Amino acid sequence: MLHITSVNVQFRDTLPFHVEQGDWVAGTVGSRLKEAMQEARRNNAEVAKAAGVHEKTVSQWRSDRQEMKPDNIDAVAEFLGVSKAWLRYGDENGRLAEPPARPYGEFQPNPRYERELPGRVYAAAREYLDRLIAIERLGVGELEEAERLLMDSRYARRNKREGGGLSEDEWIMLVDDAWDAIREVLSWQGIRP
Amino acid sequence: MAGHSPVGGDWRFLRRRSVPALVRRLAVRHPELERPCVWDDFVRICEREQVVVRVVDMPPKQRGRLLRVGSRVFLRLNRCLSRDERTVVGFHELAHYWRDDPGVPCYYADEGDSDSGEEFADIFAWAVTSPARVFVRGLRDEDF
Repeated sequence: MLHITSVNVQFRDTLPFHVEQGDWVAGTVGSRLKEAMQEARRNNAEVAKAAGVHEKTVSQWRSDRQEMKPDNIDAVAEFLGVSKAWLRYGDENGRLAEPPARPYGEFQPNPRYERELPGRVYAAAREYLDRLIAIERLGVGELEEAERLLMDSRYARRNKREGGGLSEDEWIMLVDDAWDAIREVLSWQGIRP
Repeated sequence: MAGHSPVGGDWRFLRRRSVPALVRRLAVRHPELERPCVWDDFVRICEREQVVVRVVDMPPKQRGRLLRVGSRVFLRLNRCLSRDERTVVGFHELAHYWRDDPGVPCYYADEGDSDSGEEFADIFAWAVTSPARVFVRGLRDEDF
């Protein structure tokens, strides 16, 4: 398992708030908050004042790094002119938003990777990929992208070309690292693979 | 999609002598580039560009790489590098991001490649981090 030391850099979330096939997001409180703020033409400072919180808190809400408390949701929803149920659940009836359904059997792992990658490397990458396949919220597009990231076969071509490139253990380090990046993005969306 | 340049335009076909021009134009958005950059400058620029920087364990011969996961771009730097080395490698990878990122899932591994893109990124990284810049009033195309 890689030990990652992250640089303390704060970002604004750039994920689109409209869910489309291939997005990693299935709709979050943060994405709906951003949508509502944009529609109402309100900035972080104004929402913060309405909710009685610090402006930075609103930024954290927008990126789903901090959960909105029920009274915050009530105050912000009223200020932005949206329903509390929609802001909280994504559904006017108060039900959790349905995740995009992945057609059964549509994603199939690409067999060429098993041919190109060394056995141990493929096994390590495939284990991670199988964990992602088990997450129904992820669509075919995300799985295909994850497969390319985890099973990057360029090292196979490079090793073959240059001879003695990456060892299998070094290659697995990079697979582990790609997995850590994928897992981090998923964690921002509340998904724990 | 063309190279992801915050200053617009297709940067994919930049030649080595265009490094100073790119630095000058990027400095409009990132004033840190007007002087020799250090690690803290690199971090600020990445934050502004919404590039996620992580210092991780990587094979010794792999200095750094870019990963795109969904709409997120990660810049991974090898933990075994010194702070100054990470700064140079980081700017090398940012040059790829600005010049070469097609906006689709891909990443850049930097060992042994010698194409023009790698040369450009190397020159760019030197141009923005070298202390020698304090002796040169403005980078000129003929400096390269």
